Amino acid sequence: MQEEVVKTFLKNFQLSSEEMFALKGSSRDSPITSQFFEALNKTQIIRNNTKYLLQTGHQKTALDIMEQMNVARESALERLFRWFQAQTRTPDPSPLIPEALAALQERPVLFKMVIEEWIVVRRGWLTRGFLDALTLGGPGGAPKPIELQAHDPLRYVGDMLAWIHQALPSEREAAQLLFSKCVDIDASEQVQQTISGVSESVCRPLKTRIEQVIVSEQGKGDPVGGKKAVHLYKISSLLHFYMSTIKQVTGKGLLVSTLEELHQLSYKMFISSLQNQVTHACDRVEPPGETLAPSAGVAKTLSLLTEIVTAATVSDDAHQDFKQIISCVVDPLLNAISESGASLGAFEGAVYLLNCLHQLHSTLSLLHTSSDKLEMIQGQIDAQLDTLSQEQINGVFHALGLSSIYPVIIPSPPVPLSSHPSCQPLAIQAFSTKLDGFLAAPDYLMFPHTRYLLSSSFRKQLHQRTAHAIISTYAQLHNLVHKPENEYSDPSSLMPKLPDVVKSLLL
Amino acid sequence: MLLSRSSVYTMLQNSAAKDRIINCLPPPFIRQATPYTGDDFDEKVKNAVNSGRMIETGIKLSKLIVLGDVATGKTCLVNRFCHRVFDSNYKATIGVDFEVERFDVLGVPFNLQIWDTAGQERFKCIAASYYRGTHAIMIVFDVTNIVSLAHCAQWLEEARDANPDTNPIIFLVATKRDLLHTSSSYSQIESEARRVATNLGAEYWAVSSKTGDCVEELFIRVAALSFNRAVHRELQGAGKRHSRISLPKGIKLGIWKTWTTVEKNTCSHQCKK
Repeated sequence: MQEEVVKTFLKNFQLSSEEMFALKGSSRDSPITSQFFEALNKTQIIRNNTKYLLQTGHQKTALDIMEQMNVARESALERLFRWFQAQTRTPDPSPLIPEALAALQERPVLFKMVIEEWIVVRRGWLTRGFLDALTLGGPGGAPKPIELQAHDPLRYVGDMLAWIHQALPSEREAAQLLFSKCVDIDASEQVQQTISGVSESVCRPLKTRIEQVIVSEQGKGDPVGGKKAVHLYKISSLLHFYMSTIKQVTGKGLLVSTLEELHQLSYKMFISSLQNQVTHACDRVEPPGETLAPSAGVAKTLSLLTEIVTAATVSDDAHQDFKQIISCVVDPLLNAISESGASLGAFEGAVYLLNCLHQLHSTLSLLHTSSDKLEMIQGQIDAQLDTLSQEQINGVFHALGLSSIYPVIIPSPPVPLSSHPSCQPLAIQAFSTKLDGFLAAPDYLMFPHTRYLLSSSFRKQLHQRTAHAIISTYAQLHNLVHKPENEYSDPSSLMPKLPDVVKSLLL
Repeated sequence: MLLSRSSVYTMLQNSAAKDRIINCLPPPFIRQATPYTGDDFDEKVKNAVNSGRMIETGIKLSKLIVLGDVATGKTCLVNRFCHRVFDSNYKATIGVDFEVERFDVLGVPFNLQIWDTAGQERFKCIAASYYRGTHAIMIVFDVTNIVSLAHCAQWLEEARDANPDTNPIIFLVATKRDLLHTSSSYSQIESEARRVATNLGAEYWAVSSKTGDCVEELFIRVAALSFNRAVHRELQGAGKRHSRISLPKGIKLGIWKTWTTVEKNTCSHQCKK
């Protein structure tokens, strides 16, 4: 009976010799086994059991056992910590690692230290792997080292970023495994922090290389024909894409902020390079020739714009950039156009401007972007068309002899009209004759430069506005001439045609 | 890239799920339409596995990339296999998606990393960077869209360009098999597709992600062949490992050494700080 009690007591309050052995290990460096964790767990149970001893008045024994267990635990955790540190350095850590980490949780200092150790070791591997992929390639040189692609900046940057992106899942797996047994902590946050910590190591090699690419791309000569703005834009959008992709894995971290920084840098370089390129191209916008067509510089600048906007491939929020890009190209171009057309007469200048604006408008509307810029250009087009049609109408009225009649009948004609010097029956008759000639060949009186309008819709609009002006003036005059109080002796022979006839002939 | 539930579970498991255990080499879709004619794993591979040497070196990993025209059903195919779901709504993949599947092949843990690329032209420059160092390539076309079959050769060529010296396993996969109801219209496509597969040196499969037809079989086959190849490579590599540095690439080395050495030195210097 007494033996029974002693046995039970020992079982509940002492570690067996096997358990002691499992905790202590045969030597300093002997590996941790799963029995170790069972024994470690046992110490905890015994510690809990001592409270029954305390309750039953065995204070001395209870405190002794407690002390004993604390010592055993302390040394066991110490040993576990050393083992863990060694394990982090091997490429194939033991499957007991997650359990070990969970056990170390009760010593926050050790816990933190092993995680840091883990991060430092894996950082080293990641950097080495990255540098190997850059300079040595895979085993046996296949796949080829990434740096062989350095002549193709976009490919080079893309391959480096893709390598890092592809390395992260393994890091995530490892980290998830590491924290899988830990309780009372936000594992997913720890995992993110760990990957973010590990990934810090590639920042420097990555940054130096990408910066070099950006700067050398920016420094390339031949600003006019070169594609460096397009390249820089592609690089910048690539960086933006990977920044948001990697952010989903690591959360905020040094790698993400490095990518953000590189993205900003490349975008800034892109904008300045674009401005440069546009300035150069705009310097080459020459005054128009006889045909008043936009010079080659305009087309070139616009094709640059198209190329950049359509190159904006990979990021979804590229539309935010477009506003800036488009003003960056369009505003200087508009200036250049108006400067180059400054030497022309008002009429030719308007035709030339319309031709350029037409080209600009059709390019921009194909890009499906920035409606406000389009509206602005449409407004300029309308204004130019107004000027042009006003000039045209004035010209035709002058040729028809209407220019002296028109101001008299609009707005309030004097009564009787026939006694007004400009509206004597003879003058009306002369107008009728000239109008007949005009109706027979309406294009004859149109300004020759309108032929150079590239847009047929502009030509048509111009024609119609002129026709409408003639028709309404004719109708007004016809009405007045046929009013008896205006005292024309034979109105129907003065203006034989009905306004509707003129309308149908002109439209 | 979203952290998918399955990839977390996959790696936390101590052993693979029941339907991910492969003990003998699964057969191809059509015996006459494959360049991989072995009936079972390589003898060398089996010996190596049986001798237990393999298990010590940790979980093996192979990389599979899935390519093909836009909207051929690449993501649906991967989702059907990895998550057993099918969503008929089209959602374009942004850049690349990633999944990992855990297998036990001949008792050896084996992970298949699946990189599901975007078919849209605008992502081509991104997807191309993922072709490097892949072990298996799956080119997907849509049986209802013959043009997507015609583009397969181009897809493969681009993937091969990125891996000129490796010899990945290639699959040509026809998706949306359920949409062709009459057997005559399908057999017409099949004969054409098999011709393309022969030209590309690829193994032909026809699947339906909607019904799940042959999807499991396809991926199990991919995993088994990749495993076979991976172990084989390792066995060869073990023999060659010492000669790695003296590989015949001295000339190439000469080209870039001049300017990368400087950069590399400064870089490693910085890393040490």
